[in-house]
Amino acid sequence: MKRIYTNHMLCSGCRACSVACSIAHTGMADDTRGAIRIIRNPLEGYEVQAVCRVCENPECVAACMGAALSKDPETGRIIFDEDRCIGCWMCVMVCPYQGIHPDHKTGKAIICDQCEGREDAACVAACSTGAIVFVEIEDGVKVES
Amino acid sequence: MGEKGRHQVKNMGASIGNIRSRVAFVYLTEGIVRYEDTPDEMVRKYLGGRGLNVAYLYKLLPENVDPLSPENVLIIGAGALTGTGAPNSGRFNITAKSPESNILGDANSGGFFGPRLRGSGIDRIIVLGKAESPVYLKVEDSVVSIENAEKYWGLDVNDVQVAFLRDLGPSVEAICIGPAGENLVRFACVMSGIKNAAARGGLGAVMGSKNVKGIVAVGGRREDALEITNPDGFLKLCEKLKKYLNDSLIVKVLGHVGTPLLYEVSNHLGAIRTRNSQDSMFESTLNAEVIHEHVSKMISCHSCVVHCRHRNIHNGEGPEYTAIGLLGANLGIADTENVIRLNNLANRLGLDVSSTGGIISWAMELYQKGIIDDSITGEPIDFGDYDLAVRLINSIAKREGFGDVLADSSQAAEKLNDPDRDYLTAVKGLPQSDPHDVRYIKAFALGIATASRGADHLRSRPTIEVFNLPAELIRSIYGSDVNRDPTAYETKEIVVYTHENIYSIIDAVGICKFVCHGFNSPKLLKFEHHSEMLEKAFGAKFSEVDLQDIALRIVDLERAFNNREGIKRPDDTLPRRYFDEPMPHGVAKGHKIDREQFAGMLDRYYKLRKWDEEGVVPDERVSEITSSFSGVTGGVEK
Repeated sequence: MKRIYTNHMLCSGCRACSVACSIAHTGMADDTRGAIRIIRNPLEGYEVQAVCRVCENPECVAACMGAALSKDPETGRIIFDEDRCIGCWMCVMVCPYQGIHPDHKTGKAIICDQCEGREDAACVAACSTGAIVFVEIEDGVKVES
Repeated sequence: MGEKGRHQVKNMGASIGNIRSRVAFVYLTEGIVRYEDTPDEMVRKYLGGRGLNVAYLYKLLPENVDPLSPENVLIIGAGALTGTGAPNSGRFNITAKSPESNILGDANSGGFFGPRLRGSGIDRIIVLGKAESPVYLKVEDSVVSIENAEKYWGLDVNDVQVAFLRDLGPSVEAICIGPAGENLVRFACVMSGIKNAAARGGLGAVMGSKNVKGIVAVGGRREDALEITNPDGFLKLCEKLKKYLNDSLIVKVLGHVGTPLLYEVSNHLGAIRTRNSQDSMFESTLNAEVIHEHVSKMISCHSCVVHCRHRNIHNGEGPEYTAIGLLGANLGIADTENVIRLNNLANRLGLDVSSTGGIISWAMELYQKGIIDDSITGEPIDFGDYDLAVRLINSIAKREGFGDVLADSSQAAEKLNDPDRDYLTAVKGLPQSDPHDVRYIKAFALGIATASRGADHLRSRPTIEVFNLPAELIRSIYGSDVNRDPTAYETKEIVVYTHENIYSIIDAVGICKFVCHGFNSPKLLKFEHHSEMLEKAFGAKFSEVDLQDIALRIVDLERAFNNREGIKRPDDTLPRRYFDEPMPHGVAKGHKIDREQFAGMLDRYYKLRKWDEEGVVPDERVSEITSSFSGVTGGVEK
């Protein structure tokens, strides 16, 4: 299985990834609806990608009270059933990577589906600095300092 | 396809598809907000961004109002592609009558505010009247509300944005004014983030005059966001264009060192404005690679493929070429860190760095020549004095002491004993933004003389005709052969005309000039690319001919606006020094502008634009290009 890896050192903070994710999944250009987010604070001087890391033992799945989140035993993907999400944000609170996002307007969580069914991950295709890659898990990822 | 799209299919020519143009009219005096979609015909004619902004300004602003009075109209508008995720689509325009020049004030900015504004469900905000006490505007879920800003008033640009983030949540993107805007400094800018600025023309003072501290876009519901008509097609197109742009050498270089790369080019030519243009060569301490020793990371605006913005290690962002030129060489300050610190200070206070440098250097030369003395300045003001520059910049923003005089920009001429502005490098009252001395490159000289907001390089910046490019390519850009010699006057009107047209479309679609054809490069994104992006994003149909027509309309309407404010041929001129004094150094040594040749260039330019010989847009043309404005009603309450 392929997984999305990010390198914040290469991130220029442009949010093209978030917008592309939103367009690919909702048809709307809105970075606040992307499953990958850029946590950036120009005043403090950082930009970091926040996206699901597909944990082996995902805290979000364990914490989900409505059974909206589960882990596919075969592919390892986190599966999200939006209809079952009650917007309690337990998943958001327990995720150590800010990899799942609350949509306060809909009351539903937003999480990366690794662009299942798409040729390439939309965020990876949109990134102009190579700060996001989509590679087989067993290949790991080489981070250049 | 939505209602608008279905309706438009019937029209011949351009069709706007699903381009959204939702306007909020904010009546500050009455404390109410009304909403209205821009009439389709206006979108067809002016597209968005700078185009629709000037259309609304022309329609709504009475003639000859004081720019700092409640009658002025402040317009914040996104480009047609702003926020779509198209390459470098983070840009928006702010437009009003300028308190610095008393003509068109229009400034374009990047950052993240424009996309968040659209994501909040609003594409354009038109601010009228004046609030009784400090307010900010909050945009959320397609609604604009007027909120109390007492506690934010007085904060600088960084601090107020920290406060907005603290109080309104991490998704907010804001534009704001600093102390300079509050104190009505005539070259106060509107800032977003640490460094992004709608810088030129004193629009921050207009915002301050209305008691508006800032506008905060919070976000919206799903239905408030921009709908992309062909999501997969648009994403594929964006990916293709991203690759195309990333292969470009100029994009790579800009991404590596940013605009300071231009400093060395101008300096080598002997054309870097130095000590108020008395000299034209300066120290190598401001070269791009030296600047880069003070940079921790190169960062981006929204959806940017270039990342040309520096995060510097002195607690700020930048500097751009304009900052190192005008706060460095032009003030005679060579120390790299000091110049970066001046840039950071001006940004925090909300001052346009171009005018700040241009006005201070003007006063310094007047002092040097004995035209003004300590009785006006309060202390010696000499070139090269960093501590003095810090004091002056602070006192300008606070309008204290001599700073209060300088805060009036070109309008301080009488008080500075230079009533004809003989020593000020400005056109139409706006100090020149580009640190490049234009006496050598004649097209550049014509470009700052005709620019619709005064002496400014971001209306045309015509330089590529002198590049070593194949003749065929030059013909395809300009539609005819043009003289390749930078010092020639012949055919330069064609060059300026072409670049002005290109730039007006770039500002109407909301894309950054750094990825567009005509700005430093004969390649990159052209009309055909804008057309394709509009089609995929919104199902809109704008042919290259349609875009060219829009470009001509925008330039003509801006001129008609300026004509209405009294601008005519005698205003399309250059600083006295550019005509009278030859350049002192380098390749450009000995060059100046010949008055007769310049007049000829201007004649030919007017002919090309179909304006009369006084530079006035004919009445019938004005009627034609304003006919679509009748549908504007000022909105209805929700």
